[in-house]
Amino acid sequence: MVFQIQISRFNSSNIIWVGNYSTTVKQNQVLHWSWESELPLECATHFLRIRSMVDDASFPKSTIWSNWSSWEKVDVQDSLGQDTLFVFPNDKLVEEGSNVTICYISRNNQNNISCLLEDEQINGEQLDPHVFAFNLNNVPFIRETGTNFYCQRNKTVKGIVLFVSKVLEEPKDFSCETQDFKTLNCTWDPGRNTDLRKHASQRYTLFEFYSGEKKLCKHKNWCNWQITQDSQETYNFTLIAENDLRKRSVSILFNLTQRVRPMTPFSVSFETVSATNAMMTWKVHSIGNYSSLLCNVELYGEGRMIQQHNVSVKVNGEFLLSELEPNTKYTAQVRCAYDKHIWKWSEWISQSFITLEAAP
Amino acid sequence: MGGCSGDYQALLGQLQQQMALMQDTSTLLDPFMRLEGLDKLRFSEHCTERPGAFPSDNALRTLGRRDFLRMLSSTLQRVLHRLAVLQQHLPETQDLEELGVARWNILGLKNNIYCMSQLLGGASELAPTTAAPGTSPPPTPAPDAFQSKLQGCRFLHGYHRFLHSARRVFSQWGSSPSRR
Repeated sequence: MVFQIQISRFNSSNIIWVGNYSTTVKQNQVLHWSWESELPLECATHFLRIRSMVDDASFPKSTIWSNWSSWEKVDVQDSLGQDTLFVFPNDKLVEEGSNVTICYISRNNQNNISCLLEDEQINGEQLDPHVFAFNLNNVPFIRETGTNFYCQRNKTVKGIVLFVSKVLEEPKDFSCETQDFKTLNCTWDPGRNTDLRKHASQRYTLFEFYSGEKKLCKHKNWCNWQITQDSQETYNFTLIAENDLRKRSVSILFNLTQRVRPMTPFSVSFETVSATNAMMTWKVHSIGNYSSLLCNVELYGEGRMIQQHNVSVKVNGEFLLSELEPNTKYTAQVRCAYDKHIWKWSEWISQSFITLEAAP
Repeated sequence: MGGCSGDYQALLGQLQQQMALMQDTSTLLDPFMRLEGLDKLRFSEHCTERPGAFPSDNALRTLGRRDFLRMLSSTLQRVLHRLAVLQQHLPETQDLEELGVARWNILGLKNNIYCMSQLLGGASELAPTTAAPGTSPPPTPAPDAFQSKLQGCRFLHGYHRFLHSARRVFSQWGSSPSRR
């Protein structure tokens, strides 16, 4: 069926919106439809009516509109209370750059009312003897505690705070890696913080397609994901960024073995240091069975790199540094990567030693 | 409460010094107005003290010393509660540092008020059980953010004025702790 809806403002003849809504209908079903008014509903009495038409090819003859329903009146002003001056909307949250309509309602006919946005007086459009509307276009973010709009008449002041939040950005540099085949560490650049005082809602969720698992992240720029032991190798992650006003997402697809970044090696030491040789040893964190690492050793003397070597390591690494000068201070550093696929190197770890004096 | 000095002149001087510092709106009201975006010329006329929120100048001057100290202590106790409420409405990322400093200053001032009351022989009555005479209960919680800002700045305006008035009363105290 197709439903046609008309909306009028202030009086039923002043139609401001017409639209159709198509849906399939079951017996005794209650239908729902919503419409957002750019003008706060408190600012004006609204009227709505509806008519329908069967929209079914199997009943071509019935494509005629029903009669209109009677006008349904929506009037919020009765419930506003005793004050003589009101400003709406209250505590509205909008995105930077959007357009907002504010109104004031004055219960008496005095028109010595002036309205200010922050510190600037602005003029509105009279909608009816008691209502003025103010159209703010492309509203900027000013501060986290909101943009102040207020109207004053003598000593009376009424106002609203417009909470203007920055636009939620699509996360950048989204990537995940593991150090131990047990946990995936996902990181991203969230871009601008869109949280405000009463509207702190910026949140991130990780969704993995193949497992169907989902996780709400505690932090805005990183999240851990437990790798289940069912040897799932390929991961298809979607990172969903959202706040009260917007939702964005980015996805990545990768093979786990191509996202290994080992932990920094440790326990670097030098054994059997002689005048010209030194046996360098170090340890690595295990990253699962049968896996080995490729380690990169660099030797520095007098601030210059003088040797570079690659060493394959499973648990303990060792390398004989030779052709050294006697009685000389050297610094050696080592880092490792996953030898099946070098995604990223670990951090460096370095250690200094001094060769012995040459025998006389 | 911290230890008390028995030196009336020193204590009176300390009280006046503290209040001279705390009555200055740059210690709390001005930063609050900046944070809330109310530090606008045209808005300042609306940020006036709400009648009855704090004891008036006249009410303070007509009290006897011990009643005056009791009023001071219970009013400052109420201020501490209100500042805690104000703190809740502030965004986490923009803590109002001056609010924390103000609360420490108030605690220090209350301590000296207790000591002065002890010196005058009336400390036990300082337990803040009853609301200060001549003040109306705090306003109902603000229905929206703008009213909350307005109530906040009006309250802080009154707080600074109250300290100014109380300091003037202390300045008229004689050089000896004679009872009155």
